[in-house]
Amino acid sequence: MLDGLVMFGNAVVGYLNPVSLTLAFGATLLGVVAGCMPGLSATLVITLLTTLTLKMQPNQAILVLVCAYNGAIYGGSRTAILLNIPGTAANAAACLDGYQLARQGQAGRAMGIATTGSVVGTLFGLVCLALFTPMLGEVALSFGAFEFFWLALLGVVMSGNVVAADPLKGWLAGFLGLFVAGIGQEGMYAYERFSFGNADLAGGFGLIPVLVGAFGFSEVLTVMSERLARPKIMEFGSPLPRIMDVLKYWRTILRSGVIGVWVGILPGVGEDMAAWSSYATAKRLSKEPEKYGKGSIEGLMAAETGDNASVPGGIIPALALAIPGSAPCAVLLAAMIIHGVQAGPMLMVENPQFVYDVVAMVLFSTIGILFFGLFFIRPLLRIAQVPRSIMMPIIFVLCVIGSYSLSSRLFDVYTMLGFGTLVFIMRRNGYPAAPFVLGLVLGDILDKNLRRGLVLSDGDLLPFFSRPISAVLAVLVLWTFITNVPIIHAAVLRWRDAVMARVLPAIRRSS
Amino acid sequence: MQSTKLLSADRIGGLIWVAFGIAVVYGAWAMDRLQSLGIPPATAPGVVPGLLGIAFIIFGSILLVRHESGAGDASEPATAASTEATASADAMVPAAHAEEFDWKRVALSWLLCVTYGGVLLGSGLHYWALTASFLFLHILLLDETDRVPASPTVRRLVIAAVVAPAVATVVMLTFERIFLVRLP
Repeated sequence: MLDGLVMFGNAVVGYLNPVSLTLAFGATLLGVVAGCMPGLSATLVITLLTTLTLKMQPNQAILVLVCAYNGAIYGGSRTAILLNIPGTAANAAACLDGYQLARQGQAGRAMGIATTGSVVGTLFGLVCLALFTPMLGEVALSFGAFEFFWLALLGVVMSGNVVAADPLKGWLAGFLGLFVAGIGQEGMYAYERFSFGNADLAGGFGLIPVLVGAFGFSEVLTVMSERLARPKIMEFGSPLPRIMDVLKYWRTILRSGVIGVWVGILPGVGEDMAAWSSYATAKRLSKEPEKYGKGSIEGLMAAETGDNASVPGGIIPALALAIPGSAPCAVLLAAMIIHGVQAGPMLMVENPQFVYDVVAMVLFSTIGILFFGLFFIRPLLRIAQVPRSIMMPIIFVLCVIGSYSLSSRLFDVYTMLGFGTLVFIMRRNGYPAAPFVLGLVLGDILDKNLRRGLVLSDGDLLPFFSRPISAVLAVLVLWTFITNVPIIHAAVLRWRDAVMARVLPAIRRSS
Repeated sequence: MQSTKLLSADRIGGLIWVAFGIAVVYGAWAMDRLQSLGIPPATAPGVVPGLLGIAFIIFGSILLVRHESGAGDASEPATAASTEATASADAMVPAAHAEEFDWKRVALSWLLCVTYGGVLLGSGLHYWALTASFLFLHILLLDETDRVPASPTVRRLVIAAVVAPAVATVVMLTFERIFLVRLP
């Protein structure tokens, strides 16, 4: 514990220099600005920044990415409140009450609440990140190939299950990601799989060009496919948060923080689900559920606390297990790999300082959010009004040059174009991009650990089910599948409703 | 209507997944098992792709069967948590977000992007000129409030003429001078 505090102190002091502070606050501002712009998702921002930070020192590059990530998740609340357009998917829940408050002439108050919720949520997540990452890392030291195989599979299956409206399509997208990750030379015997004698394919698809395609080019096409009247900003008052709003809803804030971190930790689930889950739970337990959707302070606070708490939450498994908690975390993990940071159970043994460096990065981005959120509202919104028809081709130019600059080969640009088109078509047909990306990142882990496990067990499948942690993970994977069988799904819902009907009145009375 | 379209797409999707799965299984089966190197069959390179191919076939078939039986509800959420979340999301999607899909806009944007990045880039044309031309045309032809093709206005022409060379210059200088990338 004391060692952790010392390392955290060292990390904070280490970043207290003009270059790091400029990078941290600059990246946070960039993230907030990008988050404000509908069509620029947090994942897209991090992916593009990954290509732009390749030449930087690893710690500075990761600092930029973490700050931009946190800033982007927060930034989307501005347009959600003032324009009724969520800047990122994570802020869709904030539209419900934020926009209603704005229509009632309380836009400034709503932004203050969103800022408070985001800051408190991130700080709560930050404490969890500092406490749980070492713990999880220690537990993960006992993990073997069998456990890592199940963890990778669970990540893809759970992401497909929760992110997609239709789990079947989510799983198919995830498995496609696993398959694509396996193309080219495999990790055990350097055998070329599905390369058809092509030298470029033999090296496999670069992770970053595929990610740039999946989140950059496909996003450009998605935005360009829609016509949208240019919104006008409505007037707002002071965004300074009121202490009473925070004190009155401390239970909601704490609960949303816990939900946000937990959803963040779940592999591949993401910030949008954290916001919706926090919002839904707050509504269910509220004394004033009728106000939700009509300008509820509590609802807005819950949504914004939940989504930002899930940012550090998602980083926990990415650092401790190398299993990303969300799509942006998957990109962050890929960036870490590119910069030579080996996330996973050995991180706490070989480079424990890095975990606390990340905690310090999140702290700096939170300070940036507080500052920019309270004092930079009007200029931010002016930037957010830049027409998307101008912004999107510029984004595409960056997608092209970003993919190319990785290793100066046009194959990466073609990869970006191909996967961008594929993911766009898939998304149009209900296949989400997040499980695909999770599959892409986890493909190597799953492949190697399944085969390593089979080597260790001499081809016997029993250890995959008989070791305690393996068994639990296997049951979770199986449970995720079978609860989607219509009869079982209906039974689970009936059981949940029955339990809720008994428990909810008691909880409402106690709060 | 949307649901019917999605179900019809599911039928085609199911067929594609099954066909793709069969191709993957065949490719994995035909892959060298490296027995000459004394490698256990269970760890052969084709094991994981083969299992994934089987998964594509199974899930693709379910997609297909679900469509044929009419039992599938493409928007049916899966878990308790997502039920609530998805329901909230669906019910409350802001009006400003209800945008119509315009395939002409996508087709034109895709064509411009692929011509720029996939065909002309690296063909000997100067990077700055190519990038500036792409940006100019994209901004000029696609306006987010307009139908395709966008009605040409002096204002848009001026914006495109200013933004395109400026962005091309900044991008070129940043990548060439700062990141030391040899541009295509």
